[in-house]
Amino acid sequence: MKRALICILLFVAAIVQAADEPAVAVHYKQACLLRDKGDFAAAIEEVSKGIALNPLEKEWLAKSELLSAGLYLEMGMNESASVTARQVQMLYPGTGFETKASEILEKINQLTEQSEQSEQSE
Amino acid sequence: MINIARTSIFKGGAVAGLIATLLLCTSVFAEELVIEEKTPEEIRAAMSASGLFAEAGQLLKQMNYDSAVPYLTDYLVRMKESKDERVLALMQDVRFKLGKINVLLGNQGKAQAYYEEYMSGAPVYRRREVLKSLAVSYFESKEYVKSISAVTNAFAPPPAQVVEKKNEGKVEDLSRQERGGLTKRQLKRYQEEAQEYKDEFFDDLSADKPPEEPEYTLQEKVLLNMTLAESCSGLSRWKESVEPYQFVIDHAEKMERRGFAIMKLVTSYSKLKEYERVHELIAGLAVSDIRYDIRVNMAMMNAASALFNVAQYDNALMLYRMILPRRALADFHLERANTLRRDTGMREMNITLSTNESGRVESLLGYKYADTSLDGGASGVQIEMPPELVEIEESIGSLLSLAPYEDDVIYRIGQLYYECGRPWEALSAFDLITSRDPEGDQGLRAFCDAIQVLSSPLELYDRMEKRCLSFLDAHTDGVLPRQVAYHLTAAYQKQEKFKEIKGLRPYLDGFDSLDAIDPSMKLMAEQYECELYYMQAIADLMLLNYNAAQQGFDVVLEKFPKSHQEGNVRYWHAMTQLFLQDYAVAFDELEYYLSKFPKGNWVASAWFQGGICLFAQEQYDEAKQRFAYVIDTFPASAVYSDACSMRGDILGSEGALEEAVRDYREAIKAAVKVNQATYATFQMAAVFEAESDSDEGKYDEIIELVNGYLDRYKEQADVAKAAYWLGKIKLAQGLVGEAVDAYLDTVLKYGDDIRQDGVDLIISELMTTARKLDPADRDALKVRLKSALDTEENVTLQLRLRVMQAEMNDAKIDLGETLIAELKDLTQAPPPVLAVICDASFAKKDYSRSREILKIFKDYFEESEYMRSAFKLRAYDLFEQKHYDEAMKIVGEAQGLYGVDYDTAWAQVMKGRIELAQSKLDEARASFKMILTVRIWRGEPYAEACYYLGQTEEQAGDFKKAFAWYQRTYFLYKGHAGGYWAAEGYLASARCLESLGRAGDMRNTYRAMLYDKYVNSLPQAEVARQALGTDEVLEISGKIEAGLQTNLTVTIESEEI
Repeated sequence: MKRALICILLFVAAIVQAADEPAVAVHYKQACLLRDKGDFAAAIEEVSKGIALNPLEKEWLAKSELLSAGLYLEMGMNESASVTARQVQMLYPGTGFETKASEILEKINQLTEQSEQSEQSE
Repeated sequence: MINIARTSIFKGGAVAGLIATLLLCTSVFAEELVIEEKTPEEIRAAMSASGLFAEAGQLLKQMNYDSAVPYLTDYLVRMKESKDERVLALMQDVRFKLGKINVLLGNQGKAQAYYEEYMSGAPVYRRREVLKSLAVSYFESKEYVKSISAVTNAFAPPPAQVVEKKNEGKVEDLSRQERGGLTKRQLKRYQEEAQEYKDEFFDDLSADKPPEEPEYTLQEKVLLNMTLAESCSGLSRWKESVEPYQFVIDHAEKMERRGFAIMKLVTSYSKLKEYERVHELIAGLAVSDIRYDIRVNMAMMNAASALFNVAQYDNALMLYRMILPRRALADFHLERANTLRRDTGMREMNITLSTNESGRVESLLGYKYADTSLDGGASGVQIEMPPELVEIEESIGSLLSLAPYEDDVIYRIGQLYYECGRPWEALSAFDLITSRDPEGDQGLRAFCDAIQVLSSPLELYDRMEKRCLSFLDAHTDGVLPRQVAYHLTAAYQKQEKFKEIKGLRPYLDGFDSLDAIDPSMKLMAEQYECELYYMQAIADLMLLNYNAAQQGFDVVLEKFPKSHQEGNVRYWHAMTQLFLQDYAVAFDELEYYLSKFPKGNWVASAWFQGGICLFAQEQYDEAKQRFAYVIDTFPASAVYSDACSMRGDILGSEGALEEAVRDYREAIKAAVKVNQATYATFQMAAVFEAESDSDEGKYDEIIELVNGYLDRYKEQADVAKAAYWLGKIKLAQGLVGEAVDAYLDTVLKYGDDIRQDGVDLIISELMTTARKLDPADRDALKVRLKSALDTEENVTLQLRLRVMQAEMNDAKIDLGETLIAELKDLTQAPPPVLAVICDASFAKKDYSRSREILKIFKDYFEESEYMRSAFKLRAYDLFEQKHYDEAMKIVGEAQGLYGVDYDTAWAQVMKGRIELAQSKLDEARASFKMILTVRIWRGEPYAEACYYLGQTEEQAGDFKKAFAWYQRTYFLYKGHAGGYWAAEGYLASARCLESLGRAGDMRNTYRAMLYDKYVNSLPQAEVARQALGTDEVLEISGKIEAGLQTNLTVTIESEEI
């Protein structure tokens, strides 16, 4: 009985927490789940919904944009990935997000170089 | 004005005498009468200069500025001739005053005129003030150049003034002139009154030199710099605007003014393309409280928009992200206000959201303005509102009353995402706006943008199509449905879904009338609709439904006369005529296009296609000139290469092979599409083949040419056609085995593509070669074909292999019959397969699919050699149906394309037969006789020609001549066509002899027929048997069995045939 009560309380707490959570965070988390399932198209659509809200919560917005850049890359949309990562760098200077965006850009550069090399060898 | 009149009458001392005089002369009602009779102008005219001056002073004291103006202006007029320095100084002061009053009254033009007069006059005691006022006034009336000049003058040191030192003296010492027309007492009184009232205007009405004008204060300098910067911006003199904006940013006291100047400087820098400075300013703004000002927010929107327009997406995005929602701004200022309230002991206020009657959310500011009681009034003690608090509360109030702009920001960010390459974010932003306001202007605009993103770059066509169709099902009025249909059509075009485009036609026809659309939007709606009908016609063109396309273009011309698409429509209308092979009409329409749209999109093409029309009408010289014109005039056009090739073709046909090769080389060099190079390359190869005397040299040239083509275009090249030419050379060099291997490899590699017409050329060449192979090699080839066929899954290649197999087994007709039943959709059959079907149909006299097959050839395989069979089948079909003119047209086309090739004799025979059927006997005779002059047609065509010449003469009633031709048929050509024409000749001869009343000769002819081993087993021999009877037939059979050979001949005198 006590255990059931604790479960109910935890559940209610979770609901309350979810209700307090900004929409951008909800979209971000849902997108992460979809990405983990390998459904990149659905994931990017989901995370974009949060970004489109133009929220004031910079932390979640930055996370979302970084996720979006990664998803573009997964989907082979390197140009979009590059633009998104570059804008993350610009919008969040001096933060960990900027560092991660730089990593994505580095990865894109490597992929581009590889692709150019393979084209040349062909 | 009555009021002014009264005032002036009762208070103007100078007028008192006049009134007294009037009162003496009139009745008791005289006063009223006089007032009504005198106009204000007349009253002022009756006043002395001092009276005018005094009256103006009174009015100014009462702050009745408007009424003072006429007195002051009249004073200036009255005193204009005065040279007295004090009067001049007084007049300058009046001008200054009039300038100020007009600024106050909003009459910028008049104010400027007085100020300008002031500045050009003397003395100028208030230079700085006047220039400041002038600068602002010019700016407000958008006279930016003058405004800049005023500010520049204001900052410049004043010009040196030569002021004659005068003893100012006392009022008592001044002359009346020096007193500006005033009495000593009046002047004194006014000065005393001025001191008493401290009225600036009145106080200023003075001829005295005021104290030295002070330097501008910092605040004034900020104002002047802002005016200068804004005027420069107004004139797009961005560089000059930078320094004054920067001054404002550095010195303005108010945060809002600094913020506004920053945003304006952002715009200037972005116009100057100094984006690093833009970025610095924006980054600086991001960390300051300036962005919490609503004016700054609005300026940020404008600056972001300006940056967006010059594709500075990163900076624009940064700005858009900084724009705060109204609620956030209000909360910020609310917190400031509440801090002040707490400090002053007042109750805090809050913002309440409520829903009004129409369901919109409204913000209400609680406890504002008036609530200045301590503790909300509990203590009953009232306190004074701090001015800063009043200002903050007013700004919150105006903020909350602003139209919502948050969605506009999201929409613009969506557009930005789209442009900079973040399509998913763009889609979500547009969808968000649509969901918030589905039927509002912005929601609908966002809907349209979203479908564009879905189409490109996301290419989620199914989702886009679903949204569009659902929208079109529900909306029929206004611009938007037309816009949506346009985007959907464009998406279908991209996918080459032309049938789907045609499927949209009912939606188009179902749109509400254009007349029902708001006039401001009608033009746009019309353009979309015009575009839609145009695209419908283009879809028909792409579906090769030329007649429907033509009708479609007619609809556009009729429904939208003089539309933006008229030029294109006219051109494509002409092209449909060309595709329908109505070359003369097509030519005329192209000429019309060129005359009406000399700068149209298709000028070069129209010239070129006109040449094609001339070429098709065999007007080769004119065509050549036309192509030469295109070559000389439009060297950069898309049709330049084609024109070179076409001129090369004509030159080649004229035997000018060197010139032809030069044109082909140019065509290859200038080709912008691979097919242009392909055409020129292989035409040139054909010229080399025909031209060169030395085989080796010829082969080398062709090999070099073809390899060069393959190197240049790689996988885009028509490899099969190249292989065909290289194989031909191998064959010519005697390398038959290698050629066969190469050919078969190419067929197996590229034969799965129906459009590879080079494969079909190879099949034809390979089959010709196979006939010359020794039996062992032939068998080996058959085995390889069977093996390939057994393993091949691609239907197109299977069909090609089956044709090759049937050809090698002499079973083409059987295969054709099988395929007629097997292939319901002939569009998937490659040309050799269609040709086999034609041959089988011809053998069975089944012409039911002749039209369909010829259309497929013309639409898809116009260059194919296999089209000959289709022409033949179609011509026979039309002939059987007695559609002689149409049949003759087909014959003409076939002859135009193939001339006197070995397998086109049928066309000349058909030509004669049509003429015969139309009783054009001379023409028929000439046509049949022409066959006998072409050596390549010796054989069956000769037999046919002789037979039909007999028919011609028989129809002409000349049985002797007819007999002679029939006899020649069975004498000379009995070995051809299995004796068919010989047998027909025998029977026709007998018929002629009967007509000539020579029954014996007729019987002898029948007997000869039965003795003739080439024909006596044919079905026609049964006629002879019937005519001769059983006994005679048995006798002849017996004699033949006994080995008797007859020498029966019938001789008839006839004219030379």
